[in-house]
Amino acid sequence: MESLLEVKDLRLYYRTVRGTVKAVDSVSFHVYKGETLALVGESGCGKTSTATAIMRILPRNVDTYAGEVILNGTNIMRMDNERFRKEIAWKKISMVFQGAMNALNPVIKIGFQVAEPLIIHAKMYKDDALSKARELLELVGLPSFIADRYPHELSGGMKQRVVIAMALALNPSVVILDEPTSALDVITQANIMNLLKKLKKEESLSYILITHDLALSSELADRIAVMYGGKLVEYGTAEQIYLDAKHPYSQKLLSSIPTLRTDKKLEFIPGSPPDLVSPPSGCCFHPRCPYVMPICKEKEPTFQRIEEDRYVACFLYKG
Amino acid sequence: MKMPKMPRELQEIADAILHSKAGIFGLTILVITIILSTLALVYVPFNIAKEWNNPLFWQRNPRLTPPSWVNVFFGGKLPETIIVANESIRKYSYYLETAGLKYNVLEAKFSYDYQDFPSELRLMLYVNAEKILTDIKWIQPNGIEITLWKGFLRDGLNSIYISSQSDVYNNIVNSLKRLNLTLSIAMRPEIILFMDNNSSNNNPTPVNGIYTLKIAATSSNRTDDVDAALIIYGRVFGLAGTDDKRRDLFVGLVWGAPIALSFGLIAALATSFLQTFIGSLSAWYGGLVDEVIQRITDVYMILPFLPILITISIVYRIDIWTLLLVVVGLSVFGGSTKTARSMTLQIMTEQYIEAAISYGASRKRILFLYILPRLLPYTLANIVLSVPSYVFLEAALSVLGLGDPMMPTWGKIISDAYSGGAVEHGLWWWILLPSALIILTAISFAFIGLALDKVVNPRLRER
Repeated sequence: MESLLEVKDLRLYYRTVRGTVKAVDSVSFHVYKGETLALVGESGCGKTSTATAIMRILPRNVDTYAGEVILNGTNIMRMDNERFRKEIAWKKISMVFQGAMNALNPVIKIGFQVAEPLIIHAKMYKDDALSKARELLELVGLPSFIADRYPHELSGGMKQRVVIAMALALNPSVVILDEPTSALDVITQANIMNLLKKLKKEESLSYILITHDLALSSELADRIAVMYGGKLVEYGTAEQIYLDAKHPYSQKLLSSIPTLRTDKKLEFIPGSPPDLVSPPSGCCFHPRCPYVMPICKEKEPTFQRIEEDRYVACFLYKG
Repeated sequence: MKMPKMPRELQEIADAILHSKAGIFGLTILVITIILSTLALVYVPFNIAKEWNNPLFWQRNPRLTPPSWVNVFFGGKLPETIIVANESIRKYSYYLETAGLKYNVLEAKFSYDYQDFPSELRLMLYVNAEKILTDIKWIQPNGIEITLWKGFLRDGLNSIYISSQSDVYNNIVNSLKRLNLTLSIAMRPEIILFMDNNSSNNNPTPVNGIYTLKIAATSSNRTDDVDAALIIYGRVFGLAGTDDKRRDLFVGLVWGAPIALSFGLIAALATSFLQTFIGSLSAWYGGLVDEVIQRITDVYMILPFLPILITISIVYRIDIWTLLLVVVGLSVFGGSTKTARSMTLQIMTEQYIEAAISYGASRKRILFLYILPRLLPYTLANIVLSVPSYVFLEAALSVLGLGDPMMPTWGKIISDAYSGGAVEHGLWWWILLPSALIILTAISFAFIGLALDKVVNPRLRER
């Protein structure tokens, strides 16, 4: 299948007072056309940093920013900032930011906010951009009069839809969804998920879904990449991961999901995510891993291919 | 197209002002002051800066008189200024061919109906002849005729100061002697001329009725002419009285309103906006820009503002608009720079700023469209609260004698009152009226600020 976005060996390190934080460390994955890649993992494992690295919304304290992001065959990492801003950002790759509650400017009307990318990139006139914004609002299932409202007049779910409309403004091919349903109630979550599914089908979008909620990602994901400590630990199709997770971390994550009817004992992973300034030696999951072996403490496992399009980073699996 | 609604923050400010008693009160006073300012343009159509210090312009006004409305409070009818000129003077002139003499006879009649005496009398004669012999007579309503002056007048404007010229006084006393009327004590001419001769000299009362001033002028040329104007200065004047230079204080006060308001508003607007803008610029661009701006601000905040301002005023004798420029120049950086910087640092971390960066909004666009609007309520409250301090500053500098020497500002009027001895002589209107206006302006802004406090101060937010 045709790969739309390919991330190769992406690294994003931050400089802090305590030392270098390897927030994204040699992350590689593919996003295929019309498919959804779910990036799952605990909080602080580098999911959002991966997204900001792709979108180039870098904070000031960046130490290393390297690797390749290949979109339709061109390495967009090599572009200078101005060209990236003009050609890629929002036009090809857009993003739905975490926490829609804060992702809207409280002093600007909804319509104008949705129109902002159009005014900036498509050089549309304000009135045209506003009418396009109304269309976009209708596309995400909001009445067009919402355009004249201010963010504080909207509910959480409506705000989330507005943020999605903003992301779709310039017909991007890839949309990064950073926790699109966090802080929403389950009914609204379901609505938003259905909307995302519908849009994916109608607009033939590819998603990168960043979430800590495996259950939710099963709704949308075609492929899943499990992140831990700034690295990918497992990558495969949704089916493969859900039914036959290889990495102990993925297994643990899955068994911590509550299920209806079956009287399953919920598991948790003892310990806490690794400190990214001074990660544990070898495999950084080894302090929490139930299958820890001596080699895990010494050597870092490689992200190896075990099947067609199926990768895992663990010494339990060889070749 | 729908009517564009006011931005939310402005709406909130408008609501806060209109829905609180303090806000309405402050706004009412402010509106009155603004009406006063516009009134200034109607009431004073002349070039105030030019005329305020021109004594000739004010010569028809009485000196140091309280405002007219004191009559309402003190019952007694204090006289207003009466000017007898032009139409109220009947003029006969004829040329006697045989003698080669030109006679000009002017008869000025006016009615006087007050319980008190006027403060001063002056007769102005506009002579259009090389030399003219004039005989000026004063006729009281009861027929008593007094010769005021007799003699030659020269071409041009001749002023006869009836109240202060000693020859006029002697003429009056001599005329009374001829009528067998003697004065037991020395009295001012304006009192003698209006006095009822039957009343006691210690407690004279004026005669009410029609008075006549007769001027007979004789000269030798057919074209010779004379015109007259009699000014009977009253004991009250206008809405705000007069000062020692006969200036109508109401003119000064209404002119002070636009000056004080514009000075205060411009200074407050300029300093608040500049400081806020520079502060958010500092935070938003960060790095070296931030460092440089913050260090300059530190230096500016340490500089002693008032002493520098006073020094500049003394050395350069600057006018009010240059003073304004200096005030703004000395406050380009200041407290608000620091506040705006910290507020911007906070706003910068908001997600929508990150979103704006990612969809490619330029740094400038984000600053003007996303950050500065959020600082607007703070800036507006800051403006409102700092207006009175600038009004006071201008007044204070004027009182110190360092203000604009030409413009009549409220502070300047108080300064004049102080040097004119208003405190010692109880000339209350000269001090109290300008002071009241300064206080009222300050209060109006303070009250509006009080109402705005609810918008800007999160602890008082009632949500």
